[in-house]
Amino acid sequence: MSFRVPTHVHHRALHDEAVLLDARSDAYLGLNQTGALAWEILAAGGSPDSAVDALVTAFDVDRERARTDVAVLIETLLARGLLEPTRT
Amino acid sequence: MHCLFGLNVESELPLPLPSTEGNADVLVTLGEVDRGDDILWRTGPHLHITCSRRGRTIVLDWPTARFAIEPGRVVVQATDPEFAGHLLLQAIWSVVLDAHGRPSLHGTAVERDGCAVGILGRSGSGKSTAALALLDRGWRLVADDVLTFDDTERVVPGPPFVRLRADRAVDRIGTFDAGGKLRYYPAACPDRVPLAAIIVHVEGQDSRVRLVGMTAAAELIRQTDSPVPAHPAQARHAFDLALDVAGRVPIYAVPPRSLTAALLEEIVMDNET
Repeated sequence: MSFRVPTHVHHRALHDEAVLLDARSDAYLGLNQTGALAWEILAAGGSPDSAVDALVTAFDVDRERARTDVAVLIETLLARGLLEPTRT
Repeated sequence: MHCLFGLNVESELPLPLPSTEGNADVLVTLGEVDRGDDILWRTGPHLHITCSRRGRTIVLDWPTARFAIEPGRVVVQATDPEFAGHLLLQAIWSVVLDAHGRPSLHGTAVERDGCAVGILGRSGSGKSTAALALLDRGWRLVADDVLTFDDTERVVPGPPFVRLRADRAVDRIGTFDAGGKLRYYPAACPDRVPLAAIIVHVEGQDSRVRLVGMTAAAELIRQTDSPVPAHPAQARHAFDLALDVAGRVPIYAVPPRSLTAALLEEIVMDNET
């Protein structure tokens, strides 16, 4: 499964974090360092498993915890319309 | 012709600005202005301002002055031209800047030796007091009330005066404007200058803190609060400005009315490169 960033979402990296703007509502969302790394991979079309691998490597967290964090992040981003599934 | 925050303006309304040469980016003319059909917001009950839209034109309406704003033209209908000129310099011009895709921050910038500090915050938070303390120590004014930036995040100079409330204007020489504040003319910096730091007065803050990431960006976005939707990509422009500046300039949050000249100079010296 992969995702893409909808055209109404603008995003920038800042100080190891990421900031997202939903241009439809002018609402902002900030992602911390781990969220920003997962976002970077998902936004580039990477799979959830790739994001989990990156978190495990970069932050020395156990795989199960990383899997849960990525799943929660994806659920949040999808619910807010900040990410959408890629139809293949 | 005058230059106001980087835009050349040819104005039928008298403006307290030095003359310059070049082609006009914005024409300010006197004429009839109809209210817009689409009311966007209005204030009250003590301060009566209405903002409306007519097609692509934004109409801002005070009891004694009405402005129709498009990117290249502002039409002014005023019973009090001096008051209208006072409004044009700040409240109206930030909308014009937005219409040009150039968001601005609400703050003051002062400079010394080619390096500036930006002081942001809501009205009454202590911006002018802090800036005045530095101006009295030999710093030069870059811009007051409206901070706008060029492509390399250098601050663009504004009008060469600071507006002081009467209680801060004691023993200072200047002229009172139609808003009841003293226009005080300190030494002014004519050049675009980089910021060494930005200090934001934040309500509820109890100590000085360096802001990073989303916190820094969010604080700057709050300071770009233009309530007038003058440009379709306005939020995007404010977002980009906040992230560009926060990525390049150290941002500090301080309690309101807490800044001294010595503290400001210490922050600037810590961040000078």
